[in-house]
Order: sequence, then structure tokens, then C-alpha cells
Amino acid sequence: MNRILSVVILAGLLFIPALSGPAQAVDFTAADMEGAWHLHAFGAYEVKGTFYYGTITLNNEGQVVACGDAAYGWSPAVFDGGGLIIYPDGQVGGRLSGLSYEWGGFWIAVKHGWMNLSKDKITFLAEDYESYQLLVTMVRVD
Amino acid sequence: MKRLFLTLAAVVLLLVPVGPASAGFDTADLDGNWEFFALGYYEVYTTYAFGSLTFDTGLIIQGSGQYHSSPAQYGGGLNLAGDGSLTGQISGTYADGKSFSYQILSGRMNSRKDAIVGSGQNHLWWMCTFYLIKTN
Repeated sequence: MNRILSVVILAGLLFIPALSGPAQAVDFTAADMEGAWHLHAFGAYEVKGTFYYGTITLNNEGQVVACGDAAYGWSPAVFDGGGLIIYPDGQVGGRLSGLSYEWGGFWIAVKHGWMNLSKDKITFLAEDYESYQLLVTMVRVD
Repeated sequence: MKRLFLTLAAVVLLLVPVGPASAGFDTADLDGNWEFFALGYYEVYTTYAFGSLTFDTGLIIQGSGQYHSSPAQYGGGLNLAGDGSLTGQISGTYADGKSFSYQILSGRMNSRKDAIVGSGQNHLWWMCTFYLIKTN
């Protein structure tokens, strides 16, 4: 009995270090984007600044399929189209589109983006339909 | 003897930190490849940049990307303290050898050691926000 317990404890000791620190040698697929994400974007262009936020849900192909609690500037908005693509190395591209109550349709195009190794955050620089340069971060909800 | 071993092993299991709250930070945690993102503004001006950076002991040994709409080469380095706080400068050249820099005045690495967020300024003192995402 003691021998079995010893083996179990030793296995635990060997396993625990694997739980700490960053993940390594990660491959990414479109399915890694599936789920709900909090999106926050801030940007500026000439004399103006703006922001976007919203909770968007992506399917296993990276397409926007649902949105809640979103805004473009001070106007309520909805992200209702477009999506993101991810490459095997974690690089992210794509375009998100939506509709704001005050200003109508909008879109945000990714210039350069990446998902982190833990697959719970996407960061990208983007440009929107009014030439705002945006720094966008998306944090996984679930 | 066996009982002593089992007791010691159990104590070690209780003391070893589990999960993302790994103990301490070291400059070596910067080693490897990171994606850099910067955005800032001042009055009518906007600055932005991104790039792929390779760090070795805190120094950027290779880096390329974009500064505004121009291809850019990166250099510089970051200092990571034991508590995860971070400062330093990421600089570069673009176009016909023109230079730029971003100074991280206050930054922080996350406990998983795969993301950094920071605030600071560029070489013209325009206010900036920074993100770095580890890619391997």
C-alpha cells in the first residue's frame, strides 16, 4: 500500500511543474477562437479618439455569431458580421463588422494580430472604416 | 523510513505552487519571440507600430515589423524585475534610417508569462499603450 502511495505521490511531483509557467510549442486552429470574447478597442485619428467594446461570440470557424452589450463610442452597437482567421503559428487576421445606433455600419480590419499561448487572449492593431488606428484586445469569457 | 519519506513528499506537495501563480520572474522569462503592439497619440498625432521581436537576456537581438505604414527594424531591451514589473525601451529605424522609440515606463508580465501590458511614451513624448504577446 505504501509503495502504491509512494508511486502516486512521485507521479504527482513530476506532473506539477507541467502546470506552471507558459505553454510551449502550441499549434493553433480555428476552433481555438470558438466561444465568447470580451472585446475592447481604443483608437485615434487626427483630432479624434474613439473606442469600441462588446461581448462577441465566434463559432469554430471564427465567424461572429452573437453579440451582447456592445458600443461604438457612446452609441449602442452590435457586432453582427465578419470574423477572424487564425494561422497555425497563432497569427490572427480578419475583419469584424457591425452596426451602431448613431452612425450606422462600421468595420474593424486587423492589420497585425496574435493569440497568446494560453489561447485566452487576442491582441491586434487595426484600422476601422474611418481610418482610426485601433489597439484591440479580446479576452476569453469562458 | 517509508513513513518519513511519505510525510516529506506530502509536505512538498502542499508547498509546491500549482497553476499560473508560478513563483517569481527573471529576465530569462523574456527570452524567445514576442509580438509587440503600440498605440499612442498627442493632440492631432497618432503613433502606432507592431513587430516580431526576439529577446535574449533582455535585449532585442532581432526584430522587424512596421512603424506607422513603413517597414521597420527593431532594437532595444527590457528589464523584468522579480515581481513581474517591467521597464525599458523598444526602438527602431524605418524609411531612410529615421529612428523612433517607445519607452515602457510601467509594465507588467502576467503570471503565465505569455503576455505583457505597459504604458509609456514615444520619442516625442506622446502617450502610449503597449502589449507584448509571447509566441514561443
